Amino acid sequence: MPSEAHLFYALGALALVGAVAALVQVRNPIAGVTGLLVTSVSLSGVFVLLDAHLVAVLQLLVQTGSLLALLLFVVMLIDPRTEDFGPTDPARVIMRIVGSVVALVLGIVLIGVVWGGLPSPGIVPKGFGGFDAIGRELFAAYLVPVESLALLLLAALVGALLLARRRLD
Amino acid sequence: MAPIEHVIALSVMLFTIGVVGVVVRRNLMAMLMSVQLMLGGVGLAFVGFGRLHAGRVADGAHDGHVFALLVIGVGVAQLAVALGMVVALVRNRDSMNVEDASVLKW
Repeated sequence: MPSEAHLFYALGALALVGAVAALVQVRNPIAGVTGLLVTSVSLSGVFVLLDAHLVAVLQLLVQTGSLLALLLFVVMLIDPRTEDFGPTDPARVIMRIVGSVVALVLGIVLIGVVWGGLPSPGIVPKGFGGFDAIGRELFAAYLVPVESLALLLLAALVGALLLARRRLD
Repeated sequence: MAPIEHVIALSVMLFTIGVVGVVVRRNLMAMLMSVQLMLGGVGLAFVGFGRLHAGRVADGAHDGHVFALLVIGVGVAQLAVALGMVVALVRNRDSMNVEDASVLKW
């Protein structure tokens, strides 16, 4: 009988597989974007399991829907197959290896810090993670961040249009 | 439900894969996707800790969710600008390799 925990582990494994596929996929960028898509959808499922229903829906709509469609569009418009892992200058290769090892060690340390130190999660109150409760917080306590985000999106929109139109010298 | 430690561990793994991707890959598109992975891991950590404290704090119980939503929004803004930069890079250098865009680099 599959439980919520089993579902979480399955979705987590799927997310990691998608992430690794997006990382190592060099020859076919469409496959890399598909890996990212798998990760995004699995993450949305994990959010549902964590009772974050609104975040899960928005992750699906925004991240998976529009954003990955945009990525796919750009990948298909400009064929990015030209690159591999860059020039094989030995100094650069060493820098990359050192950077990756440092990142891995930091990740292991981070997991070690939280491992076993967290209490078990409490009982979820009624309506937790729903539209009503989050909407109230978004437009009361978090009004300024939300409005700044709106400004940031506007600036990003204008900047993206400018960048895509002009031919730089 | 699985313990929150496992959720945080998953988020750290996603973030680490993203960091390795940004360090190793030189394709601007691939680096962009790796940054998206990192943002996904961060959002998962916020939601996980929010779930951890769900029944404990009476007021402001949704802080983690709000932060995850803000992270999604910032990720979208970043991707929009970065895709514009990708298009500009390909037009001007005819390549996706960030090593070709090194005019501003020391």
